[in-house]
Amino acid sequence: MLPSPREAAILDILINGELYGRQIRDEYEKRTRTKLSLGSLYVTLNRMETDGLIESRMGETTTIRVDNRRKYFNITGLGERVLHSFQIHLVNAMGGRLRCVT
Amino acid sequence: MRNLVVKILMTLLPTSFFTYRLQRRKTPYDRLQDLFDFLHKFQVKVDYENLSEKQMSEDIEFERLIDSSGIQDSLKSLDKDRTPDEILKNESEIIEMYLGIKTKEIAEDLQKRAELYVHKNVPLRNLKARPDSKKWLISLSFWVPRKYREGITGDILEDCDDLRKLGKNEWRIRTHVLWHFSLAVIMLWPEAIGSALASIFEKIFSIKK
Repeated sequence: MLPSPREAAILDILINGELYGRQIRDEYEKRTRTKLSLGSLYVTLNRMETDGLIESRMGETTTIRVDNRRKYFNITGLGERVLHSFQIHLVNAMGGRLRCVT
Repeated sequence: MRNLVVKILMTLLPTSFFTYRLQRRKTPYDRLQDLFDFLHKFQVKVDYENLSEKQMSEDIEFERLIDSSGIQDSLKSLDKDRTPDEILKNESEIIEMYLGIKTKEIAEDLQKRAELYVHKNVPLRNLKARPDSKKWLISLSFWVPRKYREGITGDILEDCDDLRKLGKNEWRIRTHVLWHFSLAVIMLWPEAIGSALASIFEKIFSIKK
């Protein structure tokens, strides 16, 4: 099972620790230099959660959020394995040229 | 079967749709704005300099804030024939409502507005639109499927706060709110309906087993 490029990017973001929706979006936009709406992000996150790649928990609320709690996402063991296989697949597809870049 | 129908309805229809009118009631922010309008009408000049230097503690009371800011004294000077209590009673019930507000959030909002008023000379009337984005957002949030509502609404509220800190005007913030909500509604409803149908089918098949 290989994730889509967007899913892979999100998995790579979450590998450093749990984040909530807005933080994931900001990091995604910073890394890929493309805009991502919150709607499409949450759809993707929900799909990934259904597939077992990530897990979520409801966090704390702040005065700014007015009783709307943050939803934190964390990568699962399956998610890590899928990300690893995606990276190997990508390196193989590029014929080892990725190493030259780095 | 009846439970199933109820579950479908509960999934598809956001419950807050029915409480929409209740949400349109005056919020503390609206009442605060009314207070400012009231003060503005009487051209009350309030010295907020000392107020901005104060540390806002968790248990701060709005009443104490009003007292320390000198609003009551200013009200006293408006009409020498009447006591502040009489003014409060006769002029507007709103003032009485204000004196009952005891939240840190309101106090912080007051402080921010006061700073803008004092330092940047932003007329209080122009600040009327300030809390509207939040009001819009809370009214609009019932269009988002319940499953995602907390996350999306909270994230957009944080976005609004960041934009405000960057000094964007209220129309820019409203555009941001509308754009993101429109996208969220377009994206999330098909997904929510799909997953609801999937869970219904799953339930039907599990019953047959």
